[in-house]
Amino acid sequence: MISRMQSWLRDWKEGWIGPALLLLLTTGWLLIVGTIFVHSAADGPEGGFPGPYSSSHMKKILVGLAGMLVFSFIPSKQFEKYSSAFFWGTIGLLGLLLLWKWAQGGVVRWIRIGGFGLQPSELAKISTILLIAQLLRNGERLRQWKSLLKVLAMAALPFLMIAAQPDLGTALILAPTVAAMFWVGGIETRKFIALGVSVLLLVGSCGWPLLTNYQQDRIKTYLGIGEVALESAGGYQVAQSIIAIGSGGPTGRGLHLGSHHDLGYLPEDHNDFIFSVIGEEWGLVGTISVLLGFLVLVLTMLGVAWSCRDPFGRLVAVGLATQIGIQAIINQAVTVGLLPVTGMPLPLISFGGTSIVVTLMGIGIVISFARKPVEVIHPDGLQRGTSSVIHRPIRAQVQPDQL
Amino acid sequence: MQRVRILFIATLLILLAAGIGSRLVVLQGLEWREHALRASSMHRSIRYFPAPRGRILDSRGIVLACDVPVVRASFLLSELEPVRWVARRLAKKFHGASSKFPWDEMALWNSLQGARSSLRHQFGLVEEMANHPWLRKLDQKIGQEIARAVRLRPEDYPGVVVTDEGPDFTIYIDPNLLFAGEIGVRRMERELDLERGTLWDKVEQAYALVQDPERDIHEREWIFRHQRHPLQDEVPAQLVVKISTDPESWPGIHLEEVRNRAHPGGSFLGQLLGHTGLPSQAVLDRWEQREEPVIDRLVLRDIRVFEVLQEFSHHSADQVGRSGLESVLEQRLRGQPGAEVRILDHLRRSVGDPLHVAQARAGDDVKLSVDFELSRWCQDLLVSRNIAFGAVVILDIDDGSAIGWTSLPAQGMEVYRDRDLYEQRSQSKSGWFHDRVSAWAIDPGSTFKTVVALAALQAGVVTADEKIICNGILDPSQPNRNRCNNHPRGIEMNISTALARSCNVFFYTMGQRLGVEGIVSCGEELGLWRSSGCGIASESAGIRPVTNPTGTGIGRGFTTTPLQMARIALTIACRGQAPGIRIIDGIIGESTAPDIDQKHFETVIDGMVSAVRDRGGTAFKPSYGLTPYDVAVKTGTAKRAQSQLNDAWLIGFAPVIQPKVAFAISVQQVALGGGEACAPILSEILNRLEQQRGWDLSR
Repeated sequence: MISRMQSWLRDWKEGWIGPALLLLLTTGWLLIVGTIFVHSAADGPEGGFPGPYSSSHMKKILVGLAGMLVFSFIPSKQFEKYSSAFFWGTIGLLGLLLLWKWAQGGVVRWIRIGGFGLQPSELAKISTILLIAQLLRNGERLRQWKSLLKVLAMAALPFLMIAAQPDLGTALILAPTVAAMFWVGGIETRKFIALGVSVLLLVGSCGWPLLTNYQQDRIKTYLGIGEVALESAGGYQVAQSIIAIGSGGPTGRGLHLGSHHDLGYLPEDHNDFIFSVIGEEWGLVGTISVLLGFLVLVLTMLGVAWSCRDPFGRLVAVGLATQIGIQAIINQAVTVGLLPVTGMPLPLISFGGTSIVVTLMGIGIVISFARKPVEVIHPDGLQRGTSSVIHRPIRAQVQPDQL
Repeated sequence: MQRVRILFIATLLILLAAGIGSRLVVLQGLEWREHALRASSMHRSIRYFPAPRGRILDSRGIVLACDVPVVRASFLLSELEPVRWVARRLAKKFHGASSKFPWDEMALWNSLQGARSSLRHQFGLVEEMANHPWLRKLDQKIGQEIARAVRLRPEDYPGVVVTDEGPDFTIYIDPNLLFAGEIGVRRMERELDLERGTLWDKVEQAYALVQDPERDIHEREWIFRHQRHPLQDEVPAQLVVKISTDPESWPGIHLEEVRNRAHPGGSFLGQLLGHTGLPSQAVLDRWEQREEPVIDRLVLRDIRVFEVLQEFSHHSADQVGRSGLESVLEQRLRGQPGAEVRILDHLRRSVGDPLHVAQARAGDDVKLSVDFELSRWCQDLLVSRNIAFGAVVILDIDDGSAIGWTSLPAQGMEVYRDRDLYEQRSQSKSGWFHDRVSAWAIDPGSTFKTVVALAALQAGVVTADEKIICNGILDPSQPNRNRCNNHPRGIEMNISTALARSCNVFFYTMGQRLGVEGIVSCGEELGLWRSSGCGIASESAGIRPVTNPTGTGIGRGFTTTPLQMARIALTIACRGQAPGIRIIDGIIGESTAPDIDQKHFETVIDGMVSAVRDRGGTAFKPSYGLTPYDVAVKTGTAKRAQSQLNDAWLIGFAPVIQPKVAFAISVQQVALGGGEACAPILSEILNRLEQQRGWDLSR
């Protein structure tokens, strides 16, 4: 019993130095920035810290951190084992939402149980990554078109269900994530290009009529096509966001001194446009530090993928890194006017419930892989290896009788 | 190969991040001055307009109630003055930088308020105030830091001037900029010739709400940032021009077009039309329960959202019906608020034309069956005869439309705008707030004998030929009770004659024979003691008799409204098959079809005709002026309790064959009887109807 406890403690202590620590630090930095600016944007300085929004935000962070910690101790085998069940469970929840939508009409994205709201589309983002990683782990399915298309169909299922809610922003983030996983999973370049072109053509020809009017207006506004009222196309928000970010200058107007958002000119300032508030109050210093924070976080996750010898873990890390990275880049690109308004929050920073919890759990999964980079028997009987990222020997967990 | 591909993804993400980084460098490193100026200049904003209310029209299209646009001045605390911002920004600079000035935001705010107090006596009186020294002897370090901050971002420190005075620095404040809001409000007080402080006190009250720690932080934020606080309800045109042409002198003060409700006829039909007002808390709660948003309390930037909500939304300045038809017809009359998107500068002054306008949609117009001219003429007629309390209702026999509707005393919306008058009238027992046609029930007197006659004939307790001798007393053993002074004594009369002469003894007897239940049953069949269903919410049902069948037989001991008695006249004129009463277009009251033989109606009509034509009839006197007309009437005189005055009644219809019009006239608190008081009035009304409508009502 004591020896098991000692083993557990040893296991608990191990692997925190290196990428796992870097992940924790960057995540912590982004969470702190998020809390500060949710307070500044939504609560204001009058009520003191924390206000109602920031305390709600911190509660969700605590739930997410607890999930992250738990996930960081779970061996990658367990994620792989339960990935199918998790995926189909999430699909079931999305199906329930759609049934509810057909019965009641309107936009339905939340399942409310007591005082707790759950957004299944956020869970779907992570469950899809786990399932695709499981399907692509040995690379076989990417060799033939038939099996490849089957995997693609599996990925399309949550995409379509989320898009039908409608929540196109969340659905769209799945596309680059799956593409990155296919790419790293070993798909042939010509197949990848053919697939990409086909999807683009399909979306180009059939997707436009499926978009709602306001979604079409946002794209038209961005492309400068036709006479679209700016108000109905998010043009006002982007214009105000650029003014807010630009007015911050190099060092910002100071925390709680951003009058542009404070006077209510910037809508969704604690959510989709929180980056604009950071820009106004902390200036270029703040925006670049947040941008770098995301870059370090995502590159560290890709580094974990690089060093991970388990194809499942590698694909999961690539999927999660791409998802967080692309979502952050899209959100920031919208706030500086480089992309049309998508309604996508800034991961780890925007005020939000399920999103922040699920993102932290995803980071917890990557930390788990970072702490134990090798857990499988390599086909060639590899016992030792090195990671080019952390430059330290990786201990194999392979038993002699398995060789 | 997989590692190369991971490297490719990493490179791609780095490039994308570099793209955003370079955009940020452009925005915040190269173009930031331009954006900072734009931040303090132009913005896009949605302005909301109250919903125009539909009109109420008479049968000929004359406007009885309509909206009148007025300009209201309101203020936004957050835009009124930059003092709060300046204090907060300076506090950041002072914080820990100087031992001499260890001030926080609140201390600086209080200090600025102190400076305000010392300068206040000049506000609104002196056109251009000189800079005022505020903080002296600032050390070099903090002085230079503040001077640099002001130089770098002058738009963040309006009204702050830092001067280097040798060994130390001094901060001056420009009251014209820093206290521009109060100066504007004080100037408005002077322009409106109001007592000093009248308007500024409203601002102080709003500030007090913001600073109340008991209030929810979000509510305080709302009050400070978004709520438009009313400053002056009606701004005269001259001042509107001044503010519109020189908005810089009136920062934070907004001019809004709102709508007041007006009844062009003044107090005429006032109680029937009712009144409107701004939404009360109960109304706001009801809207919240029904999930109908108060649009100007939401922070919407997207006109598309407004267009979705427009149908269900309200404006906090919407006029809401509170009584009478204005309340009953609320759903039909209420409109939908409008919105427009405008470009505003940093003080929310409109620049150029609106970009987009979602027009406010007016509510439906509602037409009444009432003829304004006829009703107004009736009112003038009553007033000319020194009648202070009374009612006239005239019904068109064809469809039951109420074409004449007069109620005295008349009271309009003026009472809701004069607190003293309201207090005085609400404590009065004269029933100022009630429409005397439909909502003021009194003893019907002998007009009720028509109902008793129909009930008695139908029940078979009397025949058309049965005769009863009236000796002036029902029971000779009780000479002071149940008397009849309406005709000479000892006359033998049947039911028609009894109606014509209004014989009490005859109807005491009928009452005794029928019992209260029998009378009430017939009265209810004829539409008494319940709403007519014509859509008037305030309609009184009256009080039905429960005891004393003898008194009930002559219309004593219970109450009815003139509208109910007019309905009785209508039913008799139609010989039992009467249409429902109409007053509001599209709403038809309950039709009347009592289970009474038509021949009984003819018997009653004979009596009512005799009242006009036969010598001894209660409306026969040539001086009453009714003899030329082909009319059937029943008069009534109800003695008022503890008073020498009567409530005089007359109901009837004309012409007798193929009637066109039924009516009820109630003249209250007069010394005359029913015939004397009401018959001359009816004579003039019939004359007016002949002239106005071309009807032949003469014999």
